[in-house]
Amino acid sequence: MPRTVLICDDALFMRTMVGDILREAGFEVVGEAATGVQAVERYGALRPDLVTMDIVMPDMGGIDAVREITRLDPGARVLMCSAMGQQALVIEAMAAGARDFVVKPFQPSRVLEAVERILA
Amino acid sequence: MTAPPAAPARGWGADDRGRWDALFAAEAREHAARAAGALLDVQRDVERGAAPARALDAAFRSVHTIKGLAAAMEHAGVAQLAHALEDALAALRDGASAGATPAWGSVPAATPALLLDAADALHDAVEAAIAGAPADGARSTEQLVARLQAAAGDVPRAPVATRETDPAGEPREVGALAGTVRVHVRLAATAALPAARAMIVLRRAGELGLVTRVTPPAPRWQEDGFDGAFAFDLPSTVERGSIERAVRLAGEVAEVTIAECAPPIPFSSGVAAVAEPLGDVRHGGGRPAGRSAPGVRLDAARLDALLDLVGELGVARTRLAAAAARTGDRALAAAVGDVGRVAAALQEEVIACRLVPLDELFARLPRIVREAARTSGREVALALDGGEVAIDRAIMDGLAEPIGHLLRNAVAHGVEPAERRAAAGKPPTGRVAVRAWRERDAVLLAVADDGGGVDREAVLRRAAERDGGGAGEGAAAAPLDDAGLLRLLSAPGLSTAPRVTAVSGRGVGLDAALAAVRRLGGTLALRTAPGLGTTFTLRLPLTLAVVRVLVVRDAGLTWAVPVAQLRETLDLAPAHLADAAAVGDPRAAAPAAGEAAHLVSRGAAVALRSLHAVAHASATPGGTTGTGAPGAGRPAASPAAASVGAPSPEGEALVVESEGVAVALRVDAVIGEREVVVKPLPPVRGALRIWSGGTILEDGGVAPILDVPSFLRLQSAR
Repeated sequence: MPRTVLICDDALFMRTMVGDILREAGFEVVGEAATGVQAVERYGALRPDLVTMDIVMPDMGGIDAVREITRLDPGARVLMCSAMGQQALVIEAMAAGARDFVVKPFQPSRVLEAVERILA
Repeated sequence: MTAPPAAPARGWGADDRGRWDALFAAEAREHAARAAGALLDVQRDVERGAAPARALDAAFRSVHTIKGLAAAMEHAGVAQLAHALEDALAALRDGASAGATPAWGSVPAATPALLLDAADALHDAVEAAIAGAPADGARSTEQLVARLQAAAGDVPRAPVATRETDPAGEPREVGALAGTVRVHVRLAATAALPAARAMIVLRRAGELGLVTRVTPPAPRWQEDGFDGAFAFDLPSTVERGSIERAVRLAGEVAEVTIAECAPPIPFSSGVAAVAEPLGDVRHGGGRPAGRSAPGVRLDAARLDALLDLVGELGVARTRLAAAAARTGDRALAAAVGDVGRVAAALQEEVIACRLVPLDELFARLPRIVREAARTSGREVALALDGGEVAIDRAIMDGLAEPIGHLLRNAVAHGVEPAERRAAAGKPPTGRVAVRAWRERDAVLLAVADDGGGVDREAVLRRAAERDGGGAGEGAAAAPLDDAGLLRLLSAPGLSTAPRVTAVSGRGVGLDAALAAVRRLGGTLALRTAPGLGTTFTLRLPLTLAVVRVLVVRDAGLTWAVPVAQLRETLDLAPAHLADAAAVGDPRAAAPAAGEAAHLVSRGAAVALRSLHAVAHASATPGGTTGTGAPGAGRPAASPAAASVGAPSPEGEALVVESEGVAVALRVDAVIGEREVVVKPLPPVRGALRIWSGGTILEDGGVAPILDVPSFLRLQSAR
C-alpha cells in the first residue's frame, strides 16, 4: 500500500510542487489543505502517514495546526515547510510536535531525505 | 537507517517549466493584488488612527507567499523585494499587534505610502518575472529595499516579539553526571536553519536518554555566532552506535564524535535549557482571527467540464420529464421534479465557483489613479465600494482594460485642474469613485468623477466637423441626450481625434473601452451633468457560462436568442405592421430584401429581418458538427427541413435591442424560454461573428446563440 500524505499550504503552487515530489517518490496524496483549520479537520478524517505543513497560513497558522494535530494523534508525523529566516517559528513548530522541516525553495532530494528521516 | 531513495535529478522539462510558470503567474498575481488591497486597508486604518494589525497580517501573508513562489522559481528580484517588504510588515505588525497606538504614533507618516510604493514595485516585479523580463530597475529596487529596511528599523518592537526574555539561557557551568558520554555534533555547512536542526538532534538524542550539559545552550543557537557545532551529554548506558544513528537521523549532520566524560559534577538539566525558551518563543505570524478560508482552487477547465455536465444533466432531465408526461406516472413525475431542483441547485453552485470578488480588480485601481494623477497633475482621491461583489473570473479579467480606460479618463479629463475647481467653488481634491453592485443576474460597475462633465457643445461641434456640416446642424438642433452623447463619443473617428480630447476632455480610448465591454456581453451607459461630473455605468452579466434564452424555430432550424436583449415578442398581426404595403407577406419576402419591412414596437418603427436570412448571410453555424460534448454533433434539423424560406403561418417577431438600437427578427415559432450552458462554437471563416456560442437542446441538437450586440452593429453597418 502506498504511503499517504496530507499536504497543507495556502499556495496552490507549493501544494503542487510538494505533491509532485512526493508522488514521484511513491506517495499517495490523500488530501490537501489551504488553512490550518482544514489541515486539522483533514488530518482527523484521513489519518495520513505524513503531513507537510506550511508555517504561515490563514485561518489557523501551521504551528497551531501542528499543536492540534499532535494533540489528536501524538504519533502524527509532520514535516514543516519553512522559508529562510523563519528559524524561531520552525523551532516553535518543533516544540509543538513537528518532526522535521525543509526550507524553501524545496530541493526534491532534501524533501525526500527529510521524509525518510521522519518515517524511519 | 533507511537510505533515502535516489531522487531523480529534477531539471525543468520544457512542459514542466510552462506549467510552473502558469501557476506562478496566477498565484503571484493574485497575492500581489491581495497585498496591495491589504496595504490600502493599512493606510486607511492609519489615517483613522486605528492599529492596522489585521490588514498588516493579511499583507504579510500574501507577500510571504510571493516570496516563497519567487524563490522557488528563481525570480531573485521578486524574492528580494518581497523579503524586504515582509520584514517591514512583520516589524510594523509586531508593533501594531502589541496594541500600542504609541507604536503607530512613532511610525513615520510616510510609511503607508512607502508600503504602497513597495506593493506597486512588487506588482511590477511580478509582472516582469511573468513576462520573462530580467528584473529591471534593480537600483530603484535596492533603494526601495533600503527604505523598507529603514522603516522596519524605525518601528519600536513590541516586547512580545523579543526572545531574550528567558533567563535559562545563560551558560551554566555544570558538570557531567556519573557515567555519561559527551556527544559532539557538527552540522553540515549547508544546513538551513541550524538552530532548528540542532534541536531535532537533541530531541532524537533525548529519545535515548536524559540529555544534559548542552553547549552552547540552545537559546544561544539563534544568535549569529552559532556555526552548527554543539555538544551534550548522554548516559553512558546508551550504546554508542545507536547514539550515532539517532543523531544522524536528525539530518544534516556532518560529524558525530562520542567521548568519555570528565569526572561527575552535580546535575543540571540541559534539557530544560532547551525546552524552556521554546515555550516563550512567540510570533504574531499565522494567527489572524476570524478570516474566511480561501478554499481550494480549481482548474478553470475542470469547472467548465463540470458545467457542461450540469448542462447535459438538464437536457436529460427534460427528456425524462417528457417520458414521465407520456406515461402519466405521477411518482416518476415527482421524482423528475426533484431531479430538476437538484440540477438547478447544482448549476447555481458550479456557477458560484466560477465567481470571484471584484476586490482583486479593485486592488489594481489605486495604482492607476495615482499614476494618472501624477502625469496629469491632478489631485484626486479614489473611493472604492462593492469589492465583495462577485463575478465570473473571465469577465473580471476582461474588465481591467475598460475600467482602467474610464478611470484614467476620469482623472485626467473628468476632474478639472485645481484652479478651475477653486473657481467653481469645489474642494481642490477631485473625487473619483468606482462602485459595484449586483442587480439580479447582472453586475453593475460605475466609474464616477465630480469633474466638470462632458462638454456637449464641443462634442457636437467636432461631430459636425467630421460629418461635414449638414449632419452637425441637425444634431445641434435636437437636444442631445446622454445616450446620444455616448454614441458620438465612442465613435472611433471622433474619440481618437486629439482636438476633441483637448476641447471636451473626453473620449480617449472610449471606443476601445466600449468594445471591450461588449466583448464581455456588457453594455455601457453615460450620465453627465455640467459642473457636477460624469458617471459611466457598466452592466455586465454575472457569468458568460450560462445564459437565459428564448429558443425559437425558423426555416426548420433551432436558434437561441438571449432574453437579456429581448425587448418583446410580437405576432405578425397587421396591427403591428408599420407599412403593410411595403411588408406584404413577410413570410414570402426574399431574405435579402428584409430592409423594406418594418414593425411597430413601443410606438416606434423597427426594421423587420428574417432570422434565417440573417443567419445565412453571415454564414450560419447551424450545421456545425463535432463541437461540444459527445452527442452534440448533430445539426438541429435535417437538411430537407432546413431549406431556406419555408413558409409558416405561425410567424412571430422577436424585437431585440442593445444600446438603444432595435431590430425585429421574424421567426416561424417560439418554443420556449430556457437557461442554457453556453458552449463555444468554432470560428466561422470569412464571416462576421453574430453567434456568441451554441447550446445543446433536449434532442441533442445544437442551437446557435445569437450575439445581439454584434448582430445589431452588423445591421446598422449595412
